[in-house]
Amino acid sequence: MWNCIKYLPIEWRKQQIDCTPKGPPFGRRTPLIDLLISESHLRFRAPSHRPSYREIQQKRILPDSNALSEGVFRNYSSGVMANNHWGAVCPFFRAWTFWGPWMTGAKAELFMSVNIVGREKDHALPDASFFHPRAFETLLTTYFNDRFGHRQWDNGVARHWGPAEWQVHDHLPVFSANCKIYNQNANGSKSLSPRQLLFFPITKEHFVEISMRQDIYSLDEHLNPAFDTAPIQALQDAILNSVTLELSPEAQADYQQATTEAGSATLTRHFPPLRWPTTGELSSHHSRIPGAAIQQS
Amino acid sequence: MDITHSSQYPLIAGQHAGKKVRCTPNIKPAYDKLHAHQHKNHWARIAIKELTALSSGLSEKTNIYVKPTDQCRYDGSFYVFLPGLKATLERRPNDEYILVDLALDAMYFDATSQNDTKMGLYRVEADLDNWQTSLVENGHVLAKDNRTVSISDSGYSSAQKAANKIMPSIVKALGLAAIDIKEGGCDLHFTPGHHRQGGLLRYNAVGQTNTYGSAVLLAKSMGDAQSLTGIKWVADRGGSSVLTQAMRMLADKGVTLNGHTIYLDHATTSPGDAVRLAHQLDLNLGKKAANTGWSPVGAFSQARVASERLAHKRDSYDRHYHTNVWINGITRAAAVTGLAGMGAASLGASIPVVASIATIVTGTSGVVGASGTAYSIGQSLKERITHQFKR
Repeated sequence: MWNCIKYLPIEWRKQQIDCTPKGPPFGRRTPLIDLLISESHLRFRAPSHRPSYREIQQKRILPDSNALSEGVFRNYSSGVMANNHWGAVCPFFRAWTFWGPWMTGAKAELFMSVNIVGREKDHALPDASFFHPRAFETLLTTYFNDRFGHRQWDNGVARHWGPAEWQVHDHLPVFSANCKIYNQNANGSKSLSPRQLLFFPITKEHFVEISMRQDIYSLDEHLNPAFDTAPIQALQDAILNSVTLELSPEAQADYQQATTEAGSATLTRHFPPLRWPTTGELSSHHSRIPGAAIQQS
Repeated sequence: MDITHSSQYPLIAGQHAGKKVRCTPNIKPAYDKLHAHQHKNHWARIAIKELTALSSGLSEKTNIYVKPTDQCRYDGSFYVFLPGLKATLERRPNDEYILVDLALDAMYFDATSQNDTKMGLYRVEADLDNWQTSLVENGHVLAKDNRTVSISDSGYSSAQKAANKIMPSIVKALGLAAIDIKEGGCDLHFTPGHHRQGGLLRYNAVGQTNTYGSAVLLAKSMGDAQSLTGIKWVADRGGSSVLTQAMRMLADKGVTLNGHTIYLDHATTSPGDAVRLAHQLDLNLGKKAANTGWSPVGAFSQARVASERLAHKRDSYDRHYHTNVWINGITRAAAVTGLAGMGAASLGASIPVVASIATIVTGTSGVVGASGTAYSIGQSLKERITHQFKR
């Protein structure tokens, strides 16, 4: 009750003070989100949408409706990707604001989105299965290059740096990995809060990207957070730890087949940062990798 | 340039102690202007302070950059980044600094702030989940016809936050014209700062000195985009202050922006000035160029805007549309004030500003009420109002 008054979502006394901001609570009573992705169920707990501005709207789909019912399509601006080989749908997007005490304003905001990504029809890789660990690694490399690698500053320095802190997990029924993508200044310095990405395949042709981004709004003179960022990280970790996946029998069979063919069901333990920016030639070279070649490797 | 000659240059700092800082005679007028404005303008004061501070040497200053090619030379020139300005200085063998050039530049904010919080132009694109921004270093609008450039209010912590806040309302405000924003993205002019611009007490945009720096950058972007056609400059809320000032600067320079369009969405500074300047700049104005929303002051401004626009031959604004919008504006404002408990159904006593317009236009007081009924009365009076505005 006391905290309800102390941490009101109001910004009348905006100031940079050292404090522990308060975001939405996370616990057993946090709603369980169940996304149906072509008969597989992706479940995780997430608090309700609390953006800093009401104009920032959440994205959601009706319960029990298939997120992939209309396939993937190009739902991004033309400059976001290096080419239009990728399609995506975003069935889930929410933001949570962390407020300072006594109306001192929004200190940080955590954005979470679930994207289901696949190849566009004209650029599909019919022979490759996303459940094949080696094929998945190659695809991720291409995806990273197309999505982040083509952006550069006028002086030729890449705008992003990554993937960093690559970690492989085996708590889901399929292989998964998370990594961080940093934004980079023109002088090569890295941004404060990287984008945290969790990847795993969901069908033969689609993979899921769970993206977490922390925006820090209160910085001190050395451009470090002026407050305690632990609650934001705690919420992010809690949500990511609550992710569970239930594969459909069909996807399960595909996964079994692909991993048997590959001889392993784990991703590479080491994924060093890619050389960015990619030049135009490099990017088109990657996108020309034929599906058959991936299958054989 | 020999030393004896340059030592006769006007002295701008270090008269009594420290290193002498001089400036070339052709820069002197620009410097004098800057000096004269230092008590009125925050940024001019900062610039003068930084230039004067050179008399204590170059060490421990974060905004000084040596020209990359001249690093090995003893008397090489170096840049000092000031708010909206780039000063080029030369170091003489007798340890004097000569100010040789002053140019418009946004680098000061590069030197002093983080990437996503810099003042200037950003590209905004629809990412897989929400809007993402990336800084445009040279401040040029993307060379594409019919591009939309949104101008945000200040008070947002980062450009990313501003984009997420204003893009939905801009897409809504532009309607069909915003179809290409999702596909091709748009540009955003971002102004950092702690407080919103405009409002009842700061209604005159040209008087707001704290956005001059941002307006200089926007005016530069606008001037550079002169050759493109169909650019839409959309100011969201307090962004109208920055846009009006930028248009003022361009009008003073005699620049015209033929074929461009402005739109003020929920303007918090006077749209009257903006419209007058837009006419000077040969800008197009859509019929609904200024949406003042639910503001009584805005309703008042609509009247000022209207007479300007009706008088202008090339403006698409006509009497028919004016009557419609204006009556709507008044009734909307009236409804709000009614809700706020500021007056009864008749506004005659409570809101002098709105009431006085009502009196001027309709000839009877108490016509403008607090609900839909007043709206219908207003519509029936359309002909009379039209008559009023014919003159």
